[in-house]
Amino acid sequence: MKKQGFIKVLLFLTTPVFILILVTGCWDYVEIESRGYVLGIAIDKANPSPSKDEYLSKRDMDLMELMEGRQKYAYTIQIPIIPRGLIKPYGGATGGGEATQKRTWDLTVLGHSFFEANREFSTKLDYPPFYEHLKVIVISEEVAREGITESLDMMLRDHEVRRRTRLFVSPQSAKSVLEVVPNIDDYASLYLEKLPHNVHKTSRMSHITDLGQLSQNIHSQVDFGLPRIIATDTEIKSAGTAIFKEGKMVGWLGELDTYHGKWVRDGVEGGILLIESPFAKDELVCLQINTSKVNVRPDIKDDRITMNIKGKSTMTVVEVNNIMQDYAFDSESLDIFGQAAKKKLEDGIKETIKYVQENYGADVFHFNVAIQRYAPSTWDKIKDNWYEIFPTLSVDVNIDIKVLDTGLVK
Amino acid sequence: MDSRNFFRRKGSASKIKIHLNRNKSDEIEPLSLSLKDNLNKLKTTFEHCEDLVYRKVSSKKSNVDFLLVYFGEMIEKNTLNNNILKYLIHDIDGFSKRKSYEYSKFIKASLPVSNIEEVTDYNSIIGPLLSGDIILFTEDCYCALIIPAKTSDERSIAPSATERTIRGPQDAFVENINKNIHLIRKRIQDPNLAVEFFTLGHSTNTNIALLYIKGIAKNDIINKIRLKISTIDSSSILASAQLEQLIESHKWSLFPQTLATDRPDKLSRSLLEGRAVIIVNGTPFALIAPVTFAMFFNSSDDYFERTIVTSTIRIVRYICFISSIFLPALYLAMTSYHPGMLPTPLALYITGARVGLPFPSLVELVFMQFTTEVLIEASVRLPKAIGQTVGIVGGLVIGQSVVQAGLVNPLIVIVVSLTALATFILPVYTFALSTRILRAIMIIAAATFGLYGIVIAGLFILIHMSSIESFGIRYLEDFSPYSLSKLKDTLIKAPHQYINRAPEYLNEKNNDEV
Amino acid sequence: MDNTSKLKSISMLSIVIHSMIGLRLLTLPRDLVSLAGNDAWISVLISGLVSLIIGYSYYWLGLKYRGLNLSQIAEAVFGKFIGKIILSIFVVYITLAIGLSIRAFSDSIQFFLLDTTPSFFIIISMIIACTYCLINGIKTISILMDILLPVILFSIILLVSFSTTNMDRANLLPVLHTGIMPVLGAYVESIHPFLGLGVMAYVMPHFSEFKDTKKWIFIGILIVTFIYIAIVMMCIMVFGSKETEHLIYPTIILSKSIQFEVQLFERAESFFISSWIPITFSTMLLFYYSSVLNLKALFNTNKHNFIVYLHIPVLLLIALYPKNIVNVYEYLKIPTYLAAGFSIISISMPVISILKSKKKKNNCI
Repeated sequence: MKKQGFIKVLLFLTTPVFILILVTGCWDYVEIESRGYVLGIAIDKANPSPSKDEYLSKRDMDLMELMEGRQKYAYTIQIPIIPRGLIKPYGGATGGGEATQKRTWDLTVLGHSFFEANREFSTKLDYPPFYEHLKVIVISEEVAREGITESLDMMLRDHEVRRRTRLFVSPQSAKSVLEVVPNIDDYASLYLEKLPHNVHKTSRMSHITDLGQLSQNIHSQVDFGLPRIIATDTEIKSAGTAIFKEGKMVGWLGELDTYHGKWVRDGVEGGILLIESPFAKDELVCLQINTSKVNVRPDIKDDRITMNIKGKSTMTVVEVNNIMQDYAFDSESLDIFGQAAKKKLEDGIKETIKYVQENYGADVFHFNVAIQRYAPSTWDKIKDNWYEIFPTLSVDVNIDIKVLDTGLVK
Repeated sequence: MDSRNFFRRKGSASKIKIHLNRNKSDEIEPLSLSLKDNLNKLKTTFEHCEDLVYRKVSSKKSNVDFLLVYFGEMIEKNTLNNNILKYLIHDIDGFSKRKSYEYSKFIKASLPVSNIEEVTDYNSIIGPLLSGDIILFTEDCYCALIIPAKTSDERSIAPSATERTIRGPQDAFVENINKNIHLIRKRIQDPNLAVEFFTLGHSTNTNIALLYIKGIAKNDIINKIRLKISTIDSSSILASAQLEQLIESHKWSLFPQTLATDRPDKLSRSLLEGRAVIIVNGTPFALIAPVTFAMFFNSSDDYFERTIVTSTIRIVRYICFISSIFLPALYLAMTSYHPGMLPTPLALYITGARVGLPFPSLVELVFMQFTTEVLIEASVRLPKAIGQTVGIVGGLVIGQSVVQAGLVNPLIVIVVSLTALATFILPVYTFALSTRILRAIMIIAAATFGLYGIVIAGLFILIHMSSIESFGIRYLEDFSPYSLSKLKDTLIKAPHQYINRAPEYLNEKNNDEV
Repeated sequence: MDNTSKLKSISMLSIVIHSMIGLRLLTLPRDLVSLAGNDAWISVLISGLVSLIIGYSYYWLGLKYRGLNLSQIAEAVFGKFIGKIILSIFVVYITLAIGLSIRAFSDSIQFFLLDTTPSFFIIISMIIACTYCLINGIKTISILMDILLPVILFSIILLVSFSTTNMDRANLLPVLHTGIMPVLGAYVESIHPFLGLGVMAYVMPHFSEFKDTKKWIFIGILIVTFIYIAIVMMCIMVFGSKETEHLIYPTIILSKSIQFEVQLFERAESFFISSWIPITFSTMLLFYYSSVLNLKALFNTNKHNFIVYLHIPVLLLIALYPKNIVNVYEYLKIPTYLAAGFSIISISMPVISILKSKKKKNNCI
C-alpha cells in the first residue's frame, strides 16, 4: 500500500514535468550539421602594415566599426566546407570531392576581443560557430609582440575551447598559414594539429605547445616559447621558436637554438646530432638520439648561483658520409664518438644560453623554476629582481653521451 | 517412488477439494446403490456432454451389472479393452462368494490396472472423470472405482526450438506434466527432490507441480512460492506465462522475475542451485524461481564449453545488453548534443552524411527503430519460408533504399541494425523483449537531456532493478553485496569444479550456519 | 520496509566510499591548492588519518548503542532537550548541504553538458531520482551503491592513470617550504568531504553483523584518502599549483587535458563527465537518507515516506535560491562551518558517553 501511495505521488510530480519537457524541451538539441565547426583560428593585427597588404587585402576583412576607436585584431576562423552527400553508401563517389573545390571557408572579422568577433561571426554564418573541435590557433608576430594574453583570454575562459588546442606563432600573417591547402590533407588546421607529433623525429621543432600549457606558463609567471610556423602556398613548416617574456614576444630562436634549448628543458624526444668525425677531417657523422635525460639544478655558493645542467643520453650512429671509412668496431672508438658529441652539444647549449641571456633576457630555460624548487629560500630572496640576475647566471653544462651501436655496418 | 503414483494420489485429493469448493456444497453426497440412479444423476450433471460414454456391461460368469463412464477420446482404448472389459466380462469370477458391498474391493484387487481408487462420494468422481479417468459403478455397491486410463497421445520429446545448444542434451519439455517431471527425475535421482502438486483454475483445473530439492533450497523461498501459488484465485491457467504473471510481485516491472525455459538440463541445474521449478501442465515452458539478473545472461551452452571461451562470451553478452539499450540513445546524444565529444574526423564524417537530409536525427532514429520492430515482429510470426523473405525485404530494400532515397543517414542504419543484433545475442527471449522498451525510454531521455538524460534514465532503471526482488531474493543479488564466489557463475564462468556449490543466498545449509 | 532487510557487513565499504566522494572531488584541488600550494596533498593525508579516528568513534558509538542511528544516539547521549537542538543543527547542515550541492551540480552540468536547459529540470530530475530510491528502502540504496562503486572507481582510476602521461613530478617540489601552517589551514577545508562519513552512522542499525564492518570502514576511508590524494597530486603535477588555483573545476579540466595520439581516446573527458553524475547522485542520496532519519528523530515520527516527500519542496527551494555560481559557493560556506560543528559534536559524543557511564558507575558505588 506504501507502493501505491508512492506511485500516485510520483505520477503527480512527474506528469507536469514530463508535459513541460515534451512541450518545451530539447533546449540544447542542435543537429550535428547545423553547427559551424571552427577548426582553426588565426589572429592578425587589424591594420596590417602596408607591406602585408598582400595577405590581408581590404576585401578580405570586412571593416565593421562596432566599437569606438580602431579595431585591434582581425580574427579569421576556418570552417570546413562539407559538400552535400559526402558519403554515398552504394556506388556513389566517395573521397574528398573534387580537387579543385575549395575545402574551407576562412572568414575574417575585426574586433577588439575574440568574443565580440565571435558574435560578429554569427551575422555571417547561418549556424553558430562551434569551438569544441578547435585544433589550432595561429598568432601573427605583430600580435604576439604586443602581448598574447589579451587576445587569448576568451579561449582560456570558454568551456568549448579545449586546452589541447595547438598554438603557433607566424612571422607572416596568420591567416596565410590557415589558408594553405596541404597536399595530403584537406584542412590546414588538422594538418597543423598533427605536425607537432614529429617531435619524436626532430628536435628542431618546438614542443607540442597547447593552450593549457600556455595558461600554465602565464599563470605561474614564467617565460616560455611557442613554435614558429612558416607557410608557402602549399607547404607548412614548423621549426624554431618564438620567445615570450612576461607574456610578450621578444624575439625568435632559430632551429639550432631551439634544439639546444630543448636539451636544457629536457624536452628532447628524438632527433639527431651532427658531429664532425673525430677520425677524419671533413667528414660528418650523424648520431640519432635514443634516450636523453637532463636535470637542471641550481648550485649556490656565496650568493653566486650556478646552474648545473647535467644530463645523460644514448645515441646511435646512423649515417657516416664516407662509406669507405672503416672504423674499428670496439668500445673505444664508440667512446671517442661520444666525447666528440659531448663537446659539440655542450658548446652549442652554452652558446644558446648565452645568446638568450644577452639578447632577450627571457628565462625560457625555466631556471627560475629550478631555483624555486630546489633552493626555495634563495628564490625568496632573489625573486623580485630575477630579470636582473638572469643574464648574469653562469652555467655549467655536463652531458654524458654514450654511443651504443653503429647500425648494421661497422 | 514412481512419479505417477505420487501424482495420482495427491493430485486427485486436491482436485476434489477444489471441486467441492467450486460447488459450494461441503456435505458429502453418497452414491446410489442402483446403477440407474447413478446414471441419471450423471446425465443431469453432464447434460450436454455428448462425448461422455455410458457403457453397461455384465459379467458372464456371475451376472453382475457394471456401468463404465468415461470421455471417449481421453482414455487409452487398450487399457479399457484388455485390462478392464476383458476381465470384467470374462475373467473375474467369484462375485457370488462375496457380499455386494465387497464387490468394488474385489474388482480393485483383480483388475490389472494400477492406482485404482475407491470412492463413495458422488462429487469426488466428477474431477477424475473430467481429467480422463474411467469410473466404474457396480450394481448394488455403494462404492465407485476410479480407474486411471488417460491416453498419452502427445508429441514426443524433441529438441528445444527456442534455446538451441550445440553440445548440450537435445531434449526439451513437452506439454505433458508427467513426462516433464520424468525428464527431471531422470537427471536428478535424489530422494530429496520434492514434487508438490497443485490444481489451479476453476474451469481449467490445471495441474501444477512445484519442484525443489529439500536441504538445498531455502525453506523461506519455497514457502513464499507455495503461498503465492496456493493463494491464486483465477478461473483459468492455460500456460506457464499466466502463472508467471500471477505469482510475481512486481507486475509493472519491465524485468521478468521468473525464468521460463523448456530445457530440462537448465531446470535441473537451477534445482541443484537451490531454486524452485514450477511446471504447468499444457505448456512446455517451466518457470524457474527465484531468478537473478545474471541468470538471463546464461545460456545452456555455457556449461558445455570451455571456461575462457564461455567467460568471454558472457562478457560480450553484458556488453551487448548495455549497448542494445544505450547505443541509439548515445548516438543521438553525441551527435545532437555533444558533437565535441566525438573525434574530429568522425564528427566531420557524420556531418558529411547528414548534410542535406530533410529530417532531424531523432525522427530518423525513431523511424528506423520502428521499422526494425516491425521487421522483427513480422519475422517471428511468419512461417519459416516467408520469414526469410521478410529479412531480405527489411535488410536490403528498406535499409538500402531508405539511404539511397536520402531519407536516412547510413550511420543510423548501422546503429539500429547493430542494436537489433545485440538484442538477439541475449539468450532469454522475454528478457530481450524488455530491452526494446528500455531502448525507447533511453532515446526519449537522450532527445531531451542529451548525455545527462541518458545517465539519469540509466540511474532510474538501476534503482528500479535494485528495488525489485524475486521471492525474497534481490534481482541484483549477484552483484551486491560483494562476494567473489558470486562472480564464478555470473560475469564469468569458472571451471566446473569451482561452481558446483549452490549460491550462498539460496543455500539452506549456509543459512543455518550463520 | 527498512527493518526487515539487513545488510551484510561488506556493504559498508561502498556506503563509506560513496558518502565521501562527491561533488567536492571536482573543486577540492583548487580550494586546497590556493591555501597550501604544493603541499595540498599533505593536508588530505592528515584529513584521511583524522577521519580514521572519526570513523572509529562512529563505530564505537554503533557498538555501544546497537540498533540506533546517529540522530537517536545524539538524543540518547545528550538527553532529550539538548539532543533536539543538536539534531536541528544536523538537519540544517545536511539539508543545506544537499540543496546547495544539487545547485552546484546543476550549474556545472549546465556548464559542461547542457548550456540552455533550465536548471530547474536538472535539479528536479536529480531530486526525483533520489526520492524514488529512498522510498524503496535501505537495501535498495545499498545495492545501488554496490553497483555504482566499480563504475566510479574505474573512472577515477582511469582519469588518474591517463593523466600520468603528462605529469611532472617535480611540480610537487619544494615540499613544506612555507611551513606547516598553510597545510593545517588547508586541512580544515579538506576535512569537509571526509565528513560525509557521518552517513555511516545513520545506516549502522541495518547491519546484521555490525562488528565485522570495522574492517570495511577503514578500508573505505583509506581508499577515499588515496583517491583524494591522487586527484590533488595529479592536478598539481599536471598543472602546477599556480595554474590549479585558477581553474574552477580542476578535476574536469584534468580529464580534458588528457592527451593521446590515438584518435579513439581523444575525448576521454566525456566518459568522466558522465560518470561523475552518479558520483554526485550517490553522495546526495546518502545525505538525503540521513536527513530523512534526522527529521524522523526530530519530530518523533515514523512516517518514512511523508518525510521523504517533505524534502522535495525544501530542497527545491534551497537549490533555486542562489542567484549565480558565486552565490552558490558563498552559501556553500555555511554548511562548511556547520560541518565543523557537526564533526566536533560527533567526536565529542563518545567522550560524553564514556563520562556519563562512569558517572553512573560512581553513583552505583
